[in-house]
Amino acid sequence: MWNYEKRLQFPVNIHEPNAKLAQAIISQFGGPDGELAASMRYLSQKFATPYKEVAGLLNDIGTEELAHLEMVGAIVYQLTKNLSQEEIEKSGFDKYYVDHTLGLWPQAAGGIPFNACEFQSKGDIITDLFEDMAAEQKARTTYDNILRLVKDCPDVCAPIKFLRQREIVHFQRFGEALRMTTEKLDSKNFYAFNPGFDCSQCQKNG
Amino acid sequence: MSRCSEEIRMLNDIGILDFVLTELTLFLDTHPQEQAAMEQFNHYARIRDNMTRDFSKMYYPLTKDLAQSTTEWRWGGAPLPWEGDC
Repeated sequence: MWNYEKRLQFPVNIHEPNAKLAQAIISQFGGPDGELAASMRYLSQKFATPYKEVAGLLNDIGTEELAHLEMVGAIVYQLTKNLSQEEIEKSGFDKYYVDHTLGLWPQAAGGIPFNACEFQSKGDIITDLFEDMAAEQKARTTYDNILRLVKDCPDVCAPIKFLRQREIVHFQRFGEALRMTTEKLDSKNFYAFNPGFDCSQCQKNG
Repeated sequence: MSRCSEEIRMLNDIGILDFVLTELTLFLDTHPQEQAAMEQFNHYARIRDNMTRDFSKMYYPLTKDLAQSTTEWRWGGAPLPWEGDC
């Protein structure tokens, strides 16, 4: 269950349209390491997570990622809001514009549509948490790349820096969740082997 | 659309308080026994609740729980956050 709050997690107030930047930043909306993939990853993984503290963390971070999706959407929307026909053609935005006008659609910067294959939900908490930590680092790298492209636009830079910092905090929290998970495993399971499925089968079979 | 500076300032303060609470929530998810963090959470949650209620009375409801009104449907009239403040 969710409650919506009518404000952004961090303010987005962009005064100069820039279609070239919008085409790069849209990757964090619907690209391989974007916020939609992040949110769907954690909110899908939570169901089969065996420990409620870890499932709770996946739920809370997955929820925050939805707020990030909204922020990235606001950035792309405001960067393209008042574009002239000439700017649309000159910036190369015409290829996106022909299919979506100025509507937001989840795709990578290179035009590849959003796809659930960009994330996993493996039903094994060790596997999932390693994927989650990697995902946070991949998103952080993408924000680093975006920051190099937007360094002359303070309006865009500030919310992107905020989003980049959140990747670092989430990576830290997932690392702690991994430690909590390994502590809960059988002491003889030192290779942290398939704790999601086999453990529950063992318990059922006595 | 122009919005008064007090409204923007208050919305910004709510954002700051909510950020503190978001950080403390994730920290407490992995450190549930940290008493100091729990106290900070309680402290800032109280301030934020009061400020959110005041903001809703003065400007517009931030959540539909705060949208109760005898005269008009204020939830639908609230500005859309992705539009920016200008």
